[in-house]
Amino acid sequence: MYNDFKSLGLSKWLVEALHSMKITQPTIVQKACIPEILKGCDCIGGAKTGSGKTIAFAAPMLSNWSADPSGMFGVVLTPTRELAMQIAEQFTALGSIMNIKVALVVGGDDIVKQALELQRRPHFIIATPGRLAHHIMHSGEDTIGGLRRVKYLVLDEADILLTNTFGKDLATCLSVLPPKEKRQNLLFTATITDQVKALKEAPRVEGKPPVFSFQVEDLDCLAIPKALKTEYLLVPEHVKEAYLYQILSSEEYNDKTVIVFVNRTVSAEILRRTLRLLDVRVTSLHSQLPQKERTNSLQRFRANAARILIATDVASRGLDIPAVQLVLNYDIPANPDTYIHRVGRTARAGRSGESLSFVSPKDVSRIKAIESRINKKMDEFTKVGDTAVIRKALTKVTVAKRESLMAMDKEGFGEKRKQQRNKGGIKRANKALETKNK
Amino acid sequence: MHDSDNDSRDFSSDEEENILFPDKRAVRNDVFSGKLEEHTDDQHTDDEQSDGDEDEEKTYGIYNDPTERGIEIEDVHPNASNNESSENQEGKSISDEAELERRKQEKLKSIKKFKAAKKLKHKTGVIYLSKIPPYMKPAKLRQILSRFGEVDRLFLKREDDQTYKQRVKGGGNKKTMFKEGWAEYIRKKDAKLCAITLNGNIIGGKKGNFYHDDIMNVKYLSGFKWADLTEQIAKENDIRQSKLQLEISQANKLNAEFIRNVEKSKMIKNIKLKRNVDTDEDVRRSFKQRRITSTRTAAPDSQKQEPSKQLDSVIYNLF
Repeated sequence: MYNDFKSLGLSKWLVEALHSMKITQPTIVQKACIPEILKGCDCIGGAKTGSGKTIAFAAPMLSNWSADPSGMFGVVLTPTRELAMQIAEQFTALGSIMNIKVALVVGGDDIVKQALELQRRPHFIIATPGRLAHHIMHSGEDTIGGLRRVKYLVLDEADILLTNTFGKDLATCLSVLPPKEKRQNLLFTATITDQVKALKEAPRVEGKPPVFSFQVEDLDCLAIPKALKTEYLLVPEHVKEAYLYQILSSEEYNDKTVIVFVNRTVSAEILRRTLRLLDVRVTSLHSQLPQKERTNSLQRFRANAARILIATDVASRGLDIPAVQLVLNYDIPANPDTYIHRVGRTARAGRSGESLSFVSPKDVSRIKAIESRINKKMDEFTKVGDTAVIRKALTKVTVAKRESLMAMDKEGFGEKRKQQRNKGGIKRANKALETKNK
Repeated sequence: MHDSDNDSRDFSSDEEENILFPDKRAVRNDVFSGKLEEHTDDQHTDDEQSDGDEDEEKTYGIYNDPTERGIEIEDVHPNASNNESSENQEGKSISDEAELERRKQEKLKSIKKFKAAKKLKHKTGVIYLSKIPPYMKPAKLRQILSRFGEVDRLFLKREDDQTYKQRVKGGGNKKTMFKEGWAEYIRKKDAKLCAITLNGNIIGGKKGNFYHDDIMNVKYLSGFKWADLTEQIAKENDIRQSKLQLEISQANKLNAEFIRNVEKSKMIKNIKLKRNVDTDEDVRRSFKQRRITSTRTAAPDSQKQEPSKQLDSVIYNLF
């Protein structure tokens, strides 16, 4: 029906900007969503990973904005800081011809600087819910006043934003935005949760066009890209590191770009140190790093200065790193959808990719759940054998792991978080006491 | 050169964190204050002498790297380098490199011994500086302290990174500032002299000097040795090392078990192949499986988490 962006109804300058970024062919989501959003419908977009959701909401918003470039035009909320940065980059790149002002409001950055930036009335705000809520609670009217006139609200990765983790902060953010009738709401997700479904079936406000939902029903069957190879390897829990090292240094993989996903920040740190001791070019991304290091290590990985990224699930969603060839699930996630997001970091936009999962005795049922979710049986991984691991890696890795554990113990990894958690506990206890006294 | 070598060590951050001295000093004071402090350095009791020996040993235990020690010693004592040169001449005739290496080691050892012997002749004394004049570097401080006698080790504690950053951010000086420090005199006498003379007085010297008017605060730490400063760190390091060894040996046991199992499984596989049995055996052992969670609509309810009320209000406000 539509074969280029122009016929979708976007402004001329935007089509040119997209062309200069070598984006000429709209993807299926974009074809479906852009005209509807331009019409002014609320939209729920479901699409699998790596299918171009960002452009699907960025393009129509920018197109409408260029007709009337006013301050605080749209707010985009995302679950992770890195994703927010990536989206902000794309907005800036697309809108640079029109002198767009984009504010990035994420945690781990200077609060005062952000407040000043907000006072300058940027056109678009890309934010994580926690930090935006903090600004709303603690800043004056001149900082957040602009939010009351916002025309668009986008929830990217809506399935995770609409969980208890973000519920409180989201409520705060919504409290200053204009009422739901006066803004356009766009939701994008790769999973349909109860909450998203409830939104779809919510009664319509009068005088507003009906919600446009794309692929919401049949989303479940198309989970992972076709060009993705899925494999598994049965490994006992305590020799996982040795297998990881052997695979990463095997001939097949010793020059490939790899993301290794783990479930915990501690294991990410252990792995990073262990592999570093064994002279592997490795970097890590998890929530216990300072934000500066998080950004740095992602940048290093993008620039190929580090071949391997050890990450927790902060990196599992949305991050677009084209060169990733292998996604290695060192731990198996509890939620099968997390698996889909993780392996979605490779095989993006029609490229091929591989994924490998380490299955320990306790993870069998999780793997079965994943297999039934993606409608595909995984194959056994045979490129690295037990003998090779025993001969070349086992002893070396064991020593390195213990050493890194010691070093972490010495440096007190995780102490800060523990302290903060304790502080939170004390605060909560105090609150409970106060309410009791009243 | 002497100074610069020492500087590199003075900055070392290892010693920075857990410097310990208060309790130890208190105890020692109780024990010795009555009798021993009145003795002059030349009239040691046997008791104190043996105590001193222990201290020296500890000190060397901490400096595991003989070369680091060696360099310093060479600079401090010209006698030592004389020794060396005579040995060097012999060394030239021997072409074998291994031999040379061995000789080098021996040389280092002898220097170490010499140094130890020299130190043993005197009792060392440690002073504490509660404030270091702003931006004064260890080299300069060493020069000032050396007026009173030979200074062996000097350690200055750097200010926190946080305060440094704040100072620089506020347009302050970018030089490093030191907060407090310890210095070890080879002779106790010198340390005491230094404390008496310098404490509460300006540094002095030429009138125009940058540090001319800075008042020093020096305390002689009686009954206190340099080893007391580093003792805790050394102890912790030892514990960590032994723990590491223990853990590695435990892990190796696990590894051996794993290797045995791999071999066993290979054997079983081969037997099966020979007998042409390819049915899987019934389950021998079952593991407790980890929990599965999901937020998908299609997933069974048992895997889902209860949504909070707040979330409902968010959803109501959204569309």
